[in-house]
Amino acid sequence: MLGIDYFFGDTYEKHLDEPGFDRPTWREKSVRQAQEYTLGWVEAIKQRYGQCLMHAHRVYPGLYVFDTQ
Amino acid sequence: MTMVNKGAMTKTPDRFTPLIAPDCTVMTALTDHCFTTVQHTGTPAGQRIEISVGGVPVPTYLAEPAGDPPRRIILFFSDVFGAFYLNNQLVQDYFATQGKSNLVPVIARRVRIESRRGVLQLSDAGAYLDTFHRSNPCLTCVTI
Repeated sequence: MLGIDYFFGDTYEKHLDEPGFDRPTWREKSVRQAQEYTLGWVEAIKQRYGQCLMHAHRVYPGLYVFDTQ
Repeated sequence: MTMVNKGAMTKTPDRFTPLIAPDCTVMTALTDHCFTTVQHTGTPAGQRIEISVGGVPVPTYLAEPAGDPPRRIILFFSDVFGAFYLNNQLVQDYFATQGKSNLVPVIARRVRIESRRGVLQLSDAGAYLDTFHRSNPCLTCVTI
């Protein structure tokens, strides 16, 4: 079981007690991070643990879409 | 978050893609529900590792079953609380302890499975995972 931290530590848990926390800005930043690293992370996992028939179509936090090839 | 699942699955398909009705709308935004949590308690059993992506260490939670090395890898894509949130660590720990035969009903009860064409209802998730397992011999994707 492998879980990527595409927030690099800056998860929403860190902001639970912040009044007026700017969710949209945080989300946009998190989406950019996820887009930059998640597919590479999946590729790295495939390299480390073996090739698998898997293909990612689209990525953003809360929704990761995979389909078979 | 806008989620529309207009097409209830009527049978178990042979492939992943046909499982989702073509007129479904994928979620497009986050709502207050996405930022709501109930804190669980427990002691996580996994560990923190780093996966290098282009030289950048990406924090990753690794939960492994005891005994023989696992033959199947499950990828966990968390909600806004992240893979290291205690609730999510405990979920990953539990998945790691389950064999294939037990994994599907567990997911069917607890996880919403999303695809590029929509969101499967919980009652459909078991069939979805069963299909995904058959077409992906060693890799499974789980989103919550």
